[in-house]
Amino acid sequence: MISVLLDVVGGVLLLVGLLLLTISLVGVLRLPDTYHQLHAQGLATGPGVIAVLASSIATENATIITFAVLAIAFVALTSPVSSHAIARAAHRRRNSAGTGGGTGGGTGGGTDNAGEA
Amino acid sequence: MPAFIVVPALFWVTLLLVAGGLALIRARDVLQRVVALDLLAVIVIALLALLCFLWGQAYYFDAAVALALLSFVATVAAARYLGSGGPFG
Amino acid sequence: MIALVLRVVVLTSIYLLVLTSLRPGDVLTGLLLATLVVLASRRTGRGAPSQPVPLRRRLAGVPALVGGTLVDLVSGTWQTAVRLLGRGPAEGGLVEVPIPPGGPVSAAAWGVRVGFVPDTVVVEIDEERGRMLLHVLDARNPAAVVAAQHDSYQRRQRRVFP
Repeated sequence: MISVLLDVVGGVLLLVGLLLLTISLVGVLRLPDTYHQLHAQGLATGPGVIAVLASSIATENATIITFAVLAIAFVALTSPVSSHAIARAAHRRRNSAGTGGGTGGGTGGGTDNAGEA
Repeated sequence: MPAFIVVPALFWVTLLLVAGGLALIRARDVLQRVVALDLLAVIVIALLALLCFLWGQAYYFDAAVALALLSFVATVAAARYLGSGGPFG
Repeated sequence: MIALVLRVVVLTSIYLLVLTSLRPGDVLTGLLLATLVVLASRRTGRGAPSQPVPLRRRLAGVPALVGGTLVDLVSGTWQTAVRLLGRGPAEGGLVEVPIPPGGPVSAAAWGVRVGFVPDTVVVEIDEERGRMLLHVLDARNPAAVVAAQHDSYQRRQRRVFP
């Protein structure tokens, strides 16, 4: 009985997580701006992956659940930091490009192509 | 968790991985590329978690946690480099 | 005293989570390592800032902080998903929110608590001048965004990280 209940809860969490990942990917593909893409990405790195990892309660395996708790705590602490790092970089690049293109903008443009190759 | 839930979910996440590659190709800016790479890392973490549910082995989660750590460090280093011209600047 | 014990317990639980075992030898090793780390950080004077608010009241505010952040997470996720699937988000923009100038711990708590919710992205945070630059999906009314952030600070964060 309790096993069936856990299966249902895990399945619902998995469905919600996959739905959030899909919506986030659609958002990243549709939106033109880095800031708006960060909102869409936050949907996947925050609640989406946490829902997928939380569906591990349905496995009823203590080792897997412990690792899932560790991964959830880690993701919850790091996802705001990485999204803030990207947003700050976008802000600085935009400011340096707006005030007549300092050296930062120039070297940044150079690394664009290097990163692509 | 029963296999009839996990196997379609695995298929779906694999499709999402392909779509994430499309987002990586379509990015116009290097920061958008960083965003797409971060998203791809999250999708691979979900894929590893699903594989762990399917086979019942906890070792896949080791890889998932290590990947989360690596992607966090890589994203922060790339963003700092692009924002201020140096990883510690 | 309670603060030291709490730190030892938290460090030990992290050690055991990484090991994923509860054998007595591992627990003992974790306790020993955590006590050593806590005592060493106390000896060097780091990691133990003096707090104006007593620890008991801060601990009493933790459930409100975690639960409130979860409520924010659910509602922010819903709004972001609706907006991403609906019309094109042409009205997103930057909003400057004044925050109470405090220590770096308070600013870090602001950043993680606000940045965790998908409909707000922390762009810049300056704890000395007391301002935070947010990117929100609906920036047509900046005063409402500032009021909502201050309201959630008063209700969730102020007791734990003033």
